[in-house]
Amino acid sequence: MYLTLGNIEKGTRRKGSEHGTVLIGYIPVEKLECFKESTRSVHQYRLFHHCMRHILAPMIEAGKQGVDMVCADGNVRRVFPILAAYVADHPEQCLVACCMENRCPKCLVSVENLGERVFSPLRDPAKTLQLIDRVSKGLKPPAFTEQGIRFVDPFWKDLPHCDIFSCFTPDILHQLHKGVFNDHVSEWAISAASVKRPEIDRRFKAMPSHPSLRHFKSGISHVSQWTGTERKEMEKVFLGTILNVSSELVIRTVRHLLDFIYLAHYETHTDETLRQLEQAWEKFTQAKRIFLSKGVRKNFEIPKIHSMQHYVGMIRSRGTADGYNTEASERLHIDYAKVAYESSNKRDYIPQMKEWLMRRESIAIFSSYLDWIAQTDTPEPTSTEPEPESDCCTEPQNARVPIDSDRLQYSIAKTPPDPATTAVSIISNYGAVDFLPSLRSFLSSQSLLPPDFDSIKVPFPTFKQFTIHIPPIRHASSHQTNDVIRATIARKPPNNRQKEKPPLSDTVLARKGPLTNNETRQVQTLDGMYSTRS
Amino acid sequence: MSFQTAKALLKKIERLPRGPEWTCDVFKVKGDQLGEDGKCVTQEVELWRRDPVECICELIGNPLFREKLRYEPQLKFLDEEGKVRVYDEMWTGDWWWNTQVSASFEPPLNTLILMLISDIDWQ
Repeated sequence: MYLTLGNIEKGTRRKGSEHGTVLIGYIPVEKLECFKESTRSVHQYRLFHHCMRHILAPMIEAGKQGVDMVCADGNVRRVFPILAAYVADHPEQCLVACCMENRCPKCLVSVENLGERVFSPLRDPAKTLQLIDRVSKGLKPPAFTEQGIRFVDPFWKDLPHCDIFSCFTPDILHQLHKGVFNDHVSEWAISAASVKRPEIDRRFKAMPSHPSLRHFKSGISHVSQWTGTERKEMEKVFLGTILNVSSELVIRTVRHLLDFIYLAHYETHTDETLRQLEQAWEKFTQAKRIFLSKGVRKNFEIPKIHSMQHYVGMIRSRGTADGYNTEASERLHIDYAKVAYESSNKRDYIPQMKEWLMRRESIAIFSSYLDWIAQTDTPEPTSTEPEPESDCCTEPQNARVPIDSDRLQYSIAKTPPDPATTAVSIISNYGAVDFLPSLRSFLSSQSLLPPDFDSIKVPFPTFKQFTIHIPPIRHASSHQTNDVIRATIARKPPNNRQKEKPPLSDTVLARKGPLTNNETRQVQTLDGMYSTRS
Repeated sequence: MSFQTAKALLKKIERLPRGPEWTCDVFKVKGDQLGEDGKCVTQEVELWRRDPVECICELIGNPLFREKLRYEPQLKFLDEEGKVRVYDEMWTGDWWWNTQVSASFEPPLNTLILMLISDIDWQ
C-alpha cells in the first residue's frame, strides 16, 4: 500500500526515483486456510478492511483537528490530511467500495445498463453505511441487493471529508488499453470481420516498418501475454488491419474508441477537449450496437465499458488521468517489493524487506539532505572572479527558446554516409524516378538553373536518414516527439548468416506553405498536404 | 573509505536519520473450520504498517519538493475572461476547491493535504 500527496506535482509523484511516494504498509495476502472455501473470500475482504482501518486510523483525528507541520518552504501550516484519491484496478476498487465485481464502484447503475448511455446517481457513503448497518441488525433491505453491496465493515467509515466512491480515479491502463480495447472491442471487430484470423495476422505482418511503430512479425493471434506497451502498439495499427473487411459502423466504433483513449491520455484538458472526450464516448456508445446486430455480442454488461462514462467528471474533479496512471505505481512495485524480496533470504521475509527499505530510505533522506545543503551553501558566483569558458556558458541552462512553429528543427549526420551518389543511382536504386525533373523545376524556380543542366555530371551526397524534432503539443504531453525519416537502398549482408536488409523509404506528409487561418480550423482534413516517399 | 566490511557499511547507514518507523500487528483470525481438537482453527496474520500522518510529514517537509508543492487549490483558465477552464494537476480540479470552501479551512495557514493511495497486488 503506497501513499503520496496530491499537493506534489504529478510529474514528480510519478517518478519512483524522486521518492514522492512512500510505502505505508504490506497488506497480508496469505490465504485464510482456516475458513471453508465457501466463506473464505468474504473473510478475505473483511481482513483487508480491518488492516486498512488499522493503517489509516491516525488519519481520523488528523483530518478533523489538523496537525501542524513544517512544509518544504519553511512555513508551518495546519495540515488536514484527507483521502482524496484511491488508485486501484477494478476488482480492488470493488473490494474497497464493498460492491460486487459486476457493478460500478462509483455509481448505482444497474447491471443491464452498464453499456448504455444511462446516467445513474453516484453511490453515497452515508446511504451505503446505513444499508450495511441495517443488514448487521438482521434486516434485509431490498436496496442492499439491488445496489450490489457486500456485507463488510468498510475501513473508510470514519475518515473525515472522504467520499470513497468519488475517490476512484480513471485507470487508463487496465480499463481502456487492457479492458475495453484489447479484451473486448478489438476481439469483437476481428470476429465481425469478413475474413478469418489468419488474414488479420497476415495484415499485421504486412504493415510497413516504421521507427515509431512495432512490427508484429507473426501477427497477433499468437500473443498470449500482452504487455502494456504491446497493447498500445497494436492500437496504433489496428484500424489499418480491419479496413475493407469490416462494415463502416465497425470501423467507426473502433475509431471513436481510439479517439476516446488518446484524448483520455491528455496531460492538460480544457472545457473544449473535455467536450471532445464526452463526444467520443457518446459516439462510441451509440456505434457499438453494430456488434449486437452482427451477432458478436448479446449485451454490453461490462463494468470497464461503463467506467468510460466517469472520465470527464473525474478529470474535472481531480485533474487529468495521467496523474493516476497505474503504470506508475506498478513501476514502484517492482522497485520496492520485488527487489526488496530478492535481497532477503526469502524466509520470514517481511521484516528483512522492511529493514532493506528503511536503509534505502535513510540513504535517500541523507542524500537529499546533502543535495539541499549543496544548493543552499553554494555562494552565488561573484562577478570579480573571471568565469572560465564564459563564452559558451553565457546563456542560463534552462533558458527557454521560443519555438518557431514555421521552422521545424531537425538533425542529420554531420557527413553524408554516401558522399557521391550518381543521379542514375538515385533514380534506379532509390526509385526516385522524378528526381531530375523535380531538381530542374526547383532550380529554375530559384533562378539557379544552369544552361547545360542535362549534360552536367555531378555526384550527390546522400543521407540515410534525418530526424525532425516536433515541438511538444502542450495539452497532449510535455515531451518532444522525434520523427525519423529513412531512405536506404537494399544492402548486402556482411556475412552469410544474416539476411539481406530490404530497402527502406518512409512515407512523408508535407504541407504546401504555411496554413492560412481558415485551414488551421480544419486540421483534420488532409487538404493541402503532399504525400511523398522519401 | 570509512568502512571495511559490508556489515560496517550497513551499520553506518543505520545510524543515519530514518524515515517513519514500522510497526507490526499480529491478528489472530478465528476460522470456521474445525481442527483435530474440535475447536475452530485459528491463523495468525501479520500486518506491517507505518503511520500515514508521519509519512505525510516526511513528504511535505522534503525541501527537494519545495518548488513542486502546492498548498491551495487553483482555478485555471485559458482566456482572460475566465470562460474556458483548464484542468491538469489535482489542485486545478473542482474537488479540492469545493472541499476547501465547504470545510471552511482558511488558507494560507490551513491547508488540505490530499492523499492518494494506491493499492496493488505484490505477491
